[in-house]
Amino acid sequence: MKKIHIVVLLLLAVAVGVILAMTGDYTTYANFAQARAKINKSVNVVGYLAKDKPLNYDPQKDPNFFSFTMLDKEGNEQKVVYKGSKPQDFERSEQLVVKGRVSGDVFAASEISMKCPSKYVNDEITLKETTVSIKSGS
Amino acid sequence: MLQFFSERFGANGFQGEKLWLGHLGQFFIVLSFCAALLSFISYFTAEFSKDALKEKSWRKLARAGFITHGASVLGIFVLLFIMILKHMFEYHYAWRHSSTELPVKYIISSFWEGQEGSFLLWQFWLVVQGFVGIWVLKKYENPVMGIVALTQVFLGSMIIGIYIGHYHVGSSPFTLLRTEMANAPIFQRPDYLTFIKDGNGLNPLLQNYWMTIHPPVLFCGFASVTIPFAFVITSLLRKDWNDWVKPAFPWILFSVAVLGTGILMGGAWAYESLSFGGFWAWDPVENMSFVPWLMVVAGLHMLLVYRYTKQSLISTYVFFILAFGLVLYSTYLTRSGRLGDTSVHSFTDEGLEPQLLAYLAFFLVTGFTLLGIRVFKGQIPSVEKEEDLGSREFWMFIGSLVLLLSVVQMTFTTSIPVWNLIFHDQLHILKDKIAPPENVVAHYNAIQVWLGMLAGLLTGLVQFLAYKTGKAPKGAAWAVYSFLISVVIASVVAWAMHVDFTQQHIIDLTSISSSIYFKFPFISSYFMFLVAGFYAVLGNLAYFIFVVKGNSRLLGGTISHFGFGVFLIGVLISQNKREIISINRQGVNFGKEFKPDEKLENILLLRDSTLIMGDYEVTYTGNEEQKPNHFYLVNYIRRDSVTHEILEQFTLKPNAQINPRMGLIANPDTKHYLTKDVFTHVSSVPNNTDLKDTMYGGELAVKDSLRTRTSYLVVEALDARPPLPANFDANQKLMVGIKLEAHGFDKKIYSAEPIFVIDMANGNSVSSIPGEISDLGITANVDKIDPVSKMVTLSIREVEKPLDFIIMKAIVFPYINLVWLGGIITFLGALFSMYRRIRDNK
Repeated sequence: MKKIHIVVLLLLAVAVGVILAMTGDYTTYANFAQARAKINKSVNVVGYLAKDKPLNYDPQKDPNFFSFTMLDKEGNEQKVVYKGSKPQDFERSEQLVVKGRVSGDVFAASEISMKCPSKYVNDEITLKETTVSIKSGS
Repeated sequence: MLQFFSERFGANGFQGEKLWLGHLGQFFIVLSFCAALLSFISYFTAEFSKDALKEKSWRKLARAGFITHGASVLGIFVLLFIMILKHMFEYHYAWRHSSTELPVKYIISSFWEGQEGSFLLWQFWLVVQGFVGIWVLKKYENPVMGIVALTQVFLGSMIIGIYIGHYHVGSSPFTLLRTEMANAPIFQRPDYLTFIKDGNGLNPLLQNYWMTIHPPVLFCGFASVTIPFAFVITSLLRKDWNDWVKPAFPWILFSVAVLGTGILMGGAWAYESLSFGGFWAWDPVENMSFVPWLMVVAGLHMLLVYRYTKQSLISTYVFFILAFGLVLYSTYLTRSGRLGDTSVHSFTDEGLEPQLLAYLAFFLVTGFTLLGIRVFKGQIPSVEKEEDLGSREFWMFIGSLVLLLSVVQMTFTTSIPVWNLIFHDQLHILKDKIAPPENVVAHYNAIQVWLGMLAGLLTGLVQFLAYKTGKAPKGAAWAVYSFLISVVIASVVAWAMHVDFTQQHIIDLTSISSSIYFKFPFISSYFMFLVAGFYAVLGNLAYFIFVVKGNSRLLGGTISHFGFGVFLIGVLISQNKREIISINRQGVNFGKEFKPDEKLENILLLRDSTLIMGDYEVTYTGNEEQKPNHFYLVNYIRRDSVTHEILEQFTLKPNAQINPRMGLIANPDTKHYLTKDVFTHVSSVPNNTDLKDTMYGGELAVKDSLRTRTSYLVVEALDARPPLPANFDANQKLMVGIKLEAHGFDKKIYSAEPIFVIDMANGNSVSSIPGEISDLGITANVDKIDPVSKMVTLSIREVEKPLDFIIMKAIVFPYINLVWLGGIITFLGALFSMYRRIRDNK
């Protein structure tokens, strides 16, 4: 066996080891009930904005504090706190994915991604609006 | 013919559609597909024919096929461009990706915003490279061009847009809006087109000049990876172990330069417009365009080893097959919609997944099967002699493995959606779906910083080693000197710039002392990364001066390696010393779930108020609207710390576009210096669209009060001699003022005095002179005064004042220019080598 083969095998072992170790960083998808069970462990929760509950964002008091209530797909309700500015048009979001962990009573989100109404649906909306505006004009 | 088309299709009953363009376009698409197929078949028939005459005639046919294909691709290109430029919104592509108000430079970007246009761009570049290939490849033309043509067949199938049974093959850019959205009632009308005044517009994130030039360069790079792969297949097919190397070199170097430039431009785009907070965010799409480049670079180095030592041929093949495979894999990931959850800029799903998988699988399987057969049969020549541990080839091999490791980690984590698909959705091994790490940057840095450091050190060292013997050439002592100098320089730079080494250690010694890292910076990979950067720079400089003594034959590689070192230094300093100067220190304390320094990056700046950020006094002075963009003027002043004289002053105009589809799209503005950039980004602006406008009223006695939204309004007294406005004609009039005091919820007291006027000359008609409190938006009028009860009837209007502030982020990036400069030098070096190899091959 050549030295080079030994080196390759060693590096292969390192690579496998590294990959296995790195998967420990991976987070999982969960609902809020599971997130509460895994306290302080980072998870991703998919759900919707509870539109009947108030959004709390007062930039003049603090531009880095935003809180809202979210429902996961099973309907579990959870107050979410995000330390950053409120994404524009947050109210219109169709789906939310929050990444973070449960801490005390709140879910501390480190990242929020929102899905706005999908392109195609929106395409149709724009189209309908065009028709309407023309009819009312004539 | 055009007349024929419009007459014929006008009969459908839809007015104003220019159907000729779509039919011509679709004709070209089918023609280009068939011509590429013909070219592929003919090239391979030529390749396998024993008879020289037959070979020649097949080759002629293949060339005719490829040229027809190229002309058709050009035709599609032009037609699609006309469609977008002329706003033909009867076509879905034009309607979806452009609008009438887009300036021409962005109309070009509309072209490649969609899947179809970007596939076309890819095809276009491969056509251009194919034409060059026909001209220069000579005895390699048949197989190499055959594979190029086959790639074009696969690419063409993505835009062909036909049905085979119920299966939709490809998605054509020439489909009509009314067929794509057949259910919308508007398309029942023959004159529907008159209602479609405008298109959907271009994604505002893409409205940036980088988006006009970054995709063409990147796709030229993607296309270019095909050719080294084609050479590898050729070599394996023909059992041509040596001759292919020389003609392949220029193509590989071209790929390194162009794909690299495309990726770097993507970084520049991310840096300037995406507000990612840097040029590299480890976004899946960025990663997946970067990994093929790393493999091409690794392949290039292995090919050099093979050329000088006849070792490592198999590794060379593996790297180039992987490079092309990774291009296809990244195409699969980004275009199947699989990355939708994890990336900001993946394409939407067009139902191409099975085709993309077939494309990927075909070339990967072909490549590795062919290689496997040759290896298994023992047909690939190898050298029995073992590499010397001090030889150049040994360390170049290690370097290539370092790049491979880097690729493995990036690809593995980026593939999370694929792992979910296989292990969760299909095999049900995973109980919960997995997701990317909480801190993606830290996840990658934990490995990539070490690999980058190793790559840098090897870049500096390996040139000093000799091939085969491992004997040190004359001047090799400079390898050691330049390393020592690098350590000194890195220490000085780190000390002077206060580079943070408190992270990423080999052994964690934080428990002993937090200052230990400054005493022993070697245990931080960041410090070693900086040393490696300087070593790559100095080592190559020393090599060029003291070992090869200015021999321009070796200049290209030295330039590239030098540039790589500059790049590494730039990466470390700009990221490590990146400073958010808009830190908000007034925030509420949210408890221990948040780290104190985390996410406090946004600061609120009221109009005309000034805050100190870093070295600057920052003032928000106003805003300008240029539809659809909204620019906010942020003024920066830097003063001398002692004399307070103004040293410099500039205004940045970050843009925040409120997009109906996507919310706020922020386009930052940057002040560029030679040694740093100051970067301003608007994260949020107040929503002034529904300001409250409230009416209050009622009968009040003196000392009665009324609660408004902003204050308690108290009737203080009636005033028989109210202060009258100038030029008021008081003749024959009776005036009573109502002294009002507003006790604002802001703890301030305001006053106003509306006046009740009875005009005796005019039949005792009554009127009111309003009293205003502009700070609260209050206007008060007197409707009636009852002379007996002294009750006053007031009507109060309170209009909410529009808010004028921005929530912004300001970041200083020091020495970011080293990143761009290093990248450019690296690619220029590759181009220089390419030029030299072409000259040598002649």
